[in-house]
Amino acid sequence: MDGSARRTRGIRLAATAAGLLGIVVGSAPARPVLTAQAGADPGGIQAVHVREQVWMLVTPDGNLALQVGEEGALLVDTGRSGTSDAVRAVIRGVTSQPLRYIVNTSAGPAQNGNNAAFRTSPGGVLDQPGSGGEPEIIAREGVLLRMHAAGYPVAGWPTDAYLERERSLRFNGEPIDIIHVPSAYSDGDSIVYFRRSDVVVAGEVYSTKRFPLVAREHGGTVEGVLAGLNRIVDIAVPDVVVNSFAEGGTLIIPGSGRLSDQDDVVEYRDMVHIVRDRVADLVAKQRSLEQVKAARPLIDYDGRYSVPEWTASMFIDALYAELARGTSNDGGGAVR
Amino acid sequence: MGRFSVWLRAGIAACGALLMWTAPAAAQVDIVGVWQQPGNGLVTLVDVRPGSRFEFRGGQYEDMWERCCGGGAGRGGPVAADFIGIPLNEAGRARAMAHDDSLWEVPEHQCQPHHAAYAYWGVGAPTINAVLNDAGRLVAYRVEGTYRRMPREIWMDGRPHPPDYARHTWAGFTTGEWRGNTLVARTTHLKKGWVRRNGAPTSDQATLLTYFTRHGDVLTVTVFVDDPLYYTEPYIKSTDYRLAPTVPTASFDDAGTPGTCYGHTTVVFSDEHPVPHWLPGQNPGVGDRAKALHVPVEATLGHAESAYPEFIDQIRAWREQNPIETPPTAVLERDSGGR
Repeated sequence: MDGSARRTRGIRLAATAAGLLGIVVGSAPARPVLTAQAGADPGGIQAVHVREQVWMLVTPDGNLALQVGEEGALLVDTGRSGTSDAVRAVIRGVTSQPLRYIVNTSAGPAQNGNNAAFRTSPGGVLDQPGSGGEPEIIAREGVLLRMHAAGYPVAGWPTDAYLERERSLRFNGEPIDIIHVPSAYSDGDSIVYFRRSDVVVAGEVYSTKRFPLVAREHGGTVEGVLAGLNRIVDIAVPDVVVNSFAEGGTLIIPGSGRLSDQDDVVEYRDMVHIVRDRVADLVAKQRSLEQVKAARPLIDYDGRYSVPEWTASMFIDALYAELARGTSNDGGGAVR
Repeated sequence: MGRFSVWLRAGIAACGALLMWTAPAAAQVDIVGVWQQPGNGLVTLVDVRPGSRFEFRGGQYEDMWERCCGGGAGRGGPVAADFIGIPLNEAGRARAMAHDDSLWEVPEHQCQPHHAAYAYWGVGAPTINAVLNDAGRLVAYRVEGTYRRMPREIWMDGRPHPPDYARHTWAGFTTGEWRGNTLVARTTHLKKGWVRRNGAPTSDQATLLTYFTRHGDVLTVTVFVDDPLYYTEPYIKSTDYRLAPTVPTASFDDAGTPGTCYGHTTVVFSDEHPVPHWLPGQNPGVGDRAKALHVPVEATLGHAESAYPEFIDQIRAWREQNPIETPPTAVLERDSGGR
């Protein structure tokens, strides 16, 4: 091979390599953009599209839900007081429609803290006077009573405090069931079922982050939580895939934690059922609260669900107080 | 001559760079294909539950003992409260001991798929396909399942794992990379699950490292289950598959619901929403396996050391202190159903 041939070959090699390299670089697959289905992130709040018309708003204090359509927006829970601007900004990232309805799933501070801010804001989240008036606030009557007792500004009180087992309405072409869950976290709990979107908003009845909160001084009971979880399990229908098994299906937005399906609620329900039975067994054996705690009846779950603000010990307090009521070892203190 | 060498070197260097760029795709061993566990190739029928029978055409499978021959009632299943070799911590042991096989009869539990930590030991033949983009580049491997295995992707395009608020699934979310001739896959976002069908648990905090290594027509799949909630150390298990000459088929022989599963009442419970479980200290299966193997009960309750060869020294020492007085007879062990 002479020098010219070598040079030509070298040039071809380089050109070929560069060309192929260009093809390779140019054809590299685009990275998936997880935020493609998530809205803005002001104040650590994210909007995550769940299905159809429903979004989950993930806040540091728990989850809110948003349904949007041609008729406007419906917000399930408003978030902790002082975060209204951030919540509003995230909602604007999803829709420019006015806020027509607010539903409070309970009287907890993370559920209705911004009620007044959204209620009094002209046109709801749209900030345009005359764009639709003030949103209705729907909640179980117990929420109204708690907010009244707590001295909450009147502007944030429910305007529709329902007394039935459930309140149903059609909004944005979708039937929506607001279902009362008696004596769960409190005496004013609701879960919200968006029928067409096939999404349940669970409120404080269900969390993937902690043991269920029980506000005994507000009428909450572990038995009520368990009944509420079973209600969600009954509503939810998993997908069934040919030659395979259940996954997905009805989606559940927990009060806090990750987006879930029926099986996640089943796991949580099983946990509550099992630890309830364990504490009940110890109560039946006349064990004191200290003896119950020493027996560590939550040992297989406290690493998963015990958090500083609601520890396994605090949950045992609630279980014991409820289960020992009316027995000779009644003496457990009320918590929360 | 010197100038020409420069061009040549530049060309070779460019090609080298190109090869390095494409090395993961060019040098990797292909794992695409239909894989099945070695066997006789005959049809195997397994009773899933009364009236529902699984038919598998192909080889045997490594959990045959657990499925067909582990216990009583003619339907098999792993022995209850046998957790030998599983590195359970105190919390994991409590969870495992609470398991009652009747749980599988609760409608909402009946159709749960096999968890990714367990899937490679169930019946069936993994079918691995490559998912390519329009430019022909590898985006993912897709592992199709058979019995109770959720199809899963092993994403190869460098995408990140989802955020905390994303759903957990039976298959989890998996990314992979080639290390030499081994595909290493990392799985997060799993639901709670099991590594034995007798209740040996994995939590939804568990993660998996799965190694796919091919040796000719043999594919070795090794799974490391790391569960900070329930294990003291990773639980490791492997299985071998042989490249299948034909595509096995699998179906459900169930006239009522062919090819599908719907939870329905098969056992009448007194509770409308039953959650069968054993209270602490009341699991009746504890001791059965120890009696059958003539080992201390504690050895069957899930301790990391029970997976290591040195553990046999402890067993020998215990047996010297506790000699068998009468020849062991067949013990009808409690089973975990035919799931």
